[in-house]
Amino acid sequence: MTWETPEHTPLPLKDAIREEVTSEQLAPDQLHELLTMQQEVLAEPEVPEPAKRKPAWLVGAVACLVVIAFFGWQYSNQQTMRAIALEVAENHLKLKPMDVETQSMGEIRQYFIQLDFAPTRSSLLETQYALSDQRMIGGRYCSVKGVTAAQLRYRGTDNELRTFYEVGYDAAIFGRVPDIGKGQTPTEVMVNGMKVTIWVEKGLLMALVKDM
Amino acid sequence: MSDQVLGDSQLQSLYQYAMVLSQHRDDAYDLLQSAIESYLVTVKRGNEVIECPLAYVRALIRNRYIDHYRYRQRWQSETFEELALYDISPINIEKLVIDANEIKDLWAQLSVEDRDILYHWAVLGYSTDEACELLEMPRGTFLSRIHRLRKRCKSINEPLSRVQE
Repeated sequence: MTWETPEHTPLPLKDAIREEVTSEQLAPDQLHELLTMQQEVLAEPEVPEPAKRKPAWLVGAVACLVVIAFFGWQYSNQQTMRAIALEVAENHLKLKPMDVETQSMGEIRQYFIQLDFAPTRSSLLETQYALSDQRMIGGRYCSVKGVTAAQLRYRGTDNELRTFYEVGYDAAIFGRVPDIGKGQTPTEVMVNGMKVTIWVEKGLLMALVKDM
Repeated sequence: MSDQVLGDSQLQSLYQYAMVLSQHRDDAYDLLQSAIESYLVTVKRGNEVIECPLAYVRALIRNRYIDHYRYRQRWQSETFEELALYDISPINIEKLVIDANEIKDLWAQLSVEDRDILYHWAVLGYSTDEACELLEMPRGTFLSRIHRLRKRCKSINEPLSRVQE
């Protein structure tokens, strides 16, 4: 029986490490898989990135602009309402003579044929302000913000005069006015010691002026 | 983008590096595959200029290995040898000799940090100083490791020299 002594081959450490490291190789199928993966991924068309998140400062700036625009619009609307209130209040003070004196809405309609609308009875006048047709004195043509309007005068139960205005409603001219048909509450504006109540009803802008 | 594709020899080289770290063929392949996927995502985005894909993917492999295996295999991010006394007398590592039959066992027994630095020295051709700087390993720590390595080589070289005599 003979014992074989193992062969000892001295190698510089560097070479030995290099041989040891490079002895490990990817299997052909692994190599193929990695090469294919790279080619497939790099050949894919660019997927558009999802909409990038907008920077916080931009979102903040837009929010500020929206808030400013909202308050600006609201302020502008308030100014328009005040202008209407001032105009109708001034007309109320002038107490110009009536073109037609009647207590009938039918006669009023017959008289106001120059208007783009038919004067109509407001539901609020009787229910809220106790101004029935019997309290009507008469009517005359006038204008509100340059639009031809009907002016009706009433004498209230307190014997005070009331002036009621009707004009075709155009939001572009009169701004946003509460529509009682939509359940909104009329706007009240105090000007020069008078209370002006403004609302929209049946497509007409209506305003009632009362001395305080 | 064809110049961004890693070729056969580059893939083999990267796999060998993954093997140096993990010493396990399946883990090495997983490391390589996930690193390449990450590399491809970066290439597709085009936000980053990758001048040397090979070095880039090698760094990805190393980072992934540290992240994934540091708890399991206790990657020594802070080596305690720094606090100990060790021999830092000069050694010419180039002159160390080892028995060809013993390198496999020795290689497997070395710590992952030792293999990493020796790989950079022996295979990638860095000087030991460059390898230390690249791997962010203190020079003292490396010298300590080399001294231990020399002892292990000696234990092999001594019987070897007796055989040669």
